[in-house]
Amino acid sequence: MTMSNHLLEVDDLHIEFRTRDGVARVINGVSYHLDAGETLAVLGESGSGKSVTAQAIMGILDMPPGFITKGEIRYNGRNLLTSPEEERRKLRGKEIAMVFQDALSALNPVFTVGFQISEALRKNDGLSKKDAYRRAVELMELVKIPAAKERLHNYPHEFSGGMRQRVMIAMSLAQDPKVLIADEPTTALDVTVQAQIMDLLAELRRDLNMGLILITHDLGVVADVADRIAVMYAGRIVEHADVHDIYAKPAHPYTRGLLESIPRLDSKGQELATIKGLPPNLMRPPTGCAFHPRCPMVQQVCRDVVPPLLVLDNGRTSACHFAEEVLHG
Amino acid sequence: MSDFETIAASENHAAVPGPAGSTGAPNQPDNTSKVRSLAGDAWRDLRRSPVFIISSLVILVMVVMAAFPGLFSSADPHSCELSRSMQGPSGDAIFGYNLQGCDVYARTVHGASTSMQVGFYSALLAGLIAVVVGMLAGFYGGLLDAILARIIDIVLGIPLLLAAIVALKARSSSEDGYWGQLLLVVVVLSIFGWTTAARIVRSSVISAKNQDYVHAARMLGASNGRIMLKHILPNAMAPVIVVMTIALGAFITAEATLSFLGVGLKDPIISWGKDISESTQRVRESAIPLVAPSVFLSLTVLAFIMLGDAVREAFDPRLR
Amino acid sequence: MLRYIVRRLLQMVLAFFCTTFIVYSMMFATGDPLTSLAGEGKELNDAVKAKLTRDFHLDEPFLVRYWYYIKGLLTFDLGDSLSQRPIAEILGEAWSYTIQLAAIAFVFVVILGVVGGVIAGMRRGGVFDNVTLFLTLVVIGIPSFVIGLMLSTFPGGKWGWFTPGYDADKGIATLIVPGFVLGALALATAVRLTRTSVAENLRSDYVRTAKAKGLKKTRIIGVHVLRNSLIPVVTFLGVEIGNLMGGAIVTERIFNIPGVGFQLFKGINLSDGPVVVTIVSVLVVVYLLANLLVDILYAVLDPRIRYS
Repeated sequence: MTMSNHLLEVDDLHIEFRTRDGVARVINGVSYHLDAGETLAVLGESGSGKSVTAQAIMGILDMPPGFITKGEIRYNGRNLLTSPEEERRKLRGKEIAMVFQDALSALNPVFTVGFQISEALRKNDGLSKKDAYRRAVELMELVKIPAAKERLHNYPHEFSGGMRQRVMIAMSLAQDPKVLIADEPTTALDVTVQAQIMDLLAELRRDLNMGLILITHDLGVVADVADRIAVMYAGRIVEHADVHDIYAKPAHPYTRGLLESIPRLDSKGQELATIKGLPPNLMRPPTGCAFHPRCPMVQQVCRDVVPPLLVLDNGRTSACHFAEEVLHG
Repeated sequence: MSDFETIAASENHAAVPGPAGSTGAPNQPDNTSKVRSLAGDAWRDLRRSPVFIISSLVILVMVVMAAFPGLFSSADPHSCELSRSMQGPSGDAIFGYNLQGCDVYARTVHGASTSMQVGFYSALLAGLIAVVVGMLAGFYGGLLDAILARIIDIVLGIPLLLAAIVALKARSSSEDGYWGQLLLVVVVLSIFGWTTAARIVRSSVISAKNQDYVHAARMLGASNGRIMLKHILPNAMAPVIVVMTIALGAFITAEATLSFLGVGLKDPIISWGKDISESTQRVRESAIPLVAPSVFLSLTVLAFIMLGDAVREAFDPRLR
Repeated sequence: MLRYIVRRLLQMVLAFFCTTFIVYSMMFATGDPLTSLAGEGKELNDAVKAKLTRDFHLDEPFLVRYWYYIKGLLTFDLGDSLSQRPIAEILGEAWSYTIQLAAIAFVFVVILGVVGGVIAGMRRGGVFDNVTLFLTLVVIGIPSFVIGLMLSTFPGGKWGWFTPGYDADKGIATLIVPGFVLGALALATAVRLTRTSVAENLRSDYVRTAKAKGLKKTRIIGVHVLRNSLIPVVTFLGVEIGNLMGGAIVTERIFNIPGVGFQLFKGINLSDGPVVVTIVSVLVVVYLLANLLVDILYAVLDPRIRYS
């Protein structure tokens, strides 16, 4: 791989979890990159390693049991994995911030939202309490929380799910990060609220010119928001392409399966397609291509050989022995 | 929940210790991995835990000592001669004699029976109250639950030792005889010692009640009584047994403390607490009458508490 | 918040009546009330009988008697002991010792308990954690009167390391060891509870969030984790106040401290029913009040409770 000037780069990352029951290789050579102002959607079922990768970028992975065995994570060209912890701490929130899935448990239940939004400003940026709280109100207004000033002294449990997620987003934006990682930001929410939060994230990304990594298991929610999509399966990126290319023509059987399992209005009455089987146990991964036990196109080579990441037209990649067939078939 | 925790959680589905198999995780993605249950894991851990082994052995010894004191001492703990008062250890009495001239070793050995009986009977009775109350509250819910919960709160709010002092102060007398005295202490300790277990039963009943297999049993027309006894009770038993093991130790402590204060068991019952209390008068001359029953008492209580703690820890998936 | 306090207050009133009723009826539920008060086998002269009957309204129905007893408690009219001493006077002399003793015990419990628990919880599985776990289990397993007797007999009495009992001339210093004994059980439990609580909270999502904000570890643990971990510990301490009062009887008897527990013990030994019932009732009321205080503190610590 050549050194390039992306804002954030994950390069051949390998992570394993060592537990008393054995070693689970949860990340097996993941690479992706992100530039300012663009949105990368990382897509996959739970257990595919998308959150673990994000936690590794943030430096909040639980280690142990997690071990990063190989690879680099570069921010502005600097390898974060070899940086001292104190340096990484200063990047957290300030350069790279994160929005978590379940705002109810991700926010501290015993502190007011004002306290939590302003906390990093006071402790890391040295703002006075008054200034920090004023900024917190601005941030709450930015994420469109009505009556922000009055709600400053409320506790997380006093907000609705959608408003709580907005608090979470306001908190992540407090220190003007260049990269925002949103880890399943809408999973815990109602469908209508989901769309609002997605729109808000897209808007903020545009207005603040941030890079946005959107982690989700729902292909449906990313279509309008993402620029590129990286599909993960069993700790690998199996397909990586421009959002329009993926929706038009997937180049991996797994992506195709995911697309077919999105409910559509025009397919009303027909049976919804599903991907048969379950994700593999990463302590005992299948031989060859990890997807082969569930793949409708499986051949002998899939059971024997791990497929390399093939570069197809338009710079898109797919880790399938039959990528061309999938793409054009 | 991180992806790793999702993986880990698929290994341990059961939050409440239950009988093996009934709460196992059937949808293991990989068939080759051997199917394991929480109970199996717990048992494997326990067998290797020195705390578990040692405390089990101590309890075993104490049970044997309580059942067959003659195996350990041939002397009569009730034959006391003032002429032997405070005599030191000798071939006849390895711990010497106490103030009244009784054989300290014989009395200590025979004290095991009292403590074990008080502990077992109180734990059984308190456990029974707890299961009945907790089951009714958890199963029927609603108003009954609210009333029972308040009763639990109030009883829990009465300090055990203070309540027992008042209850026993008025009535305990040596004229009640052996069983009368024992029964009184057991009843008083149980009446004030069932509440924690009842709360635990209640919450396990509530979680068991909503399991699919209970709904299925109901659909098949099983009566409430049958559902409670056959389907819910077995699931609620494991945590109760753990709590009652620890409570057993606490009951032994409570009896000894009450007897030490002079409101618990009286003659002719031999109680470690009472003997300890009597020994303090002349402790400057000889500490053995104090130390011997103290060590036996502490070992017994410690064994039950450590056993309960080890089992609880082994069954607690959060601590794995 | 105000609504919460009012509700807790009402609950306390209910608990007060239930608890005192239970205590009172246990005293008089069976047998001859005169025997219950004066102890069996004691020959009472007619004057004492008459006074007891008058003081405890023994000629009235049970509920009326209970009513007079409640009235006495609430108006601090605590009656006399069998030896004709006002019980209020006995308590007045004794309470300061017990307060000092309990305060020392509480300091041990709160400071050592919380600090030990936090360290053990942060280093779960480490040497400190395992040693602490074992030691606390031993302390929980050994009855506190045995711990007290052993300390007062060997290092206190035989080896002369400290005064093995309360000494008015040396003052509060002689209460330190008894205070430790009194608090030992609660201390051990507090350590274990704090440890579990800290270990659990360390794994919670909000800690990850705090980390992602770039906060320092000291702040995450000292502010975010500690505040949440203290909630169950505070609840426990509330319950524990009752056990501390029960324990005071034992500790004060062992170390000859002329506190409330000692007076209670004396009352038991002299079969002085009025003293026993009254002191126990007063202790129960103190316990209820302490619990109310803890509940309010609990609400201050946990905003989710305040509004529910």
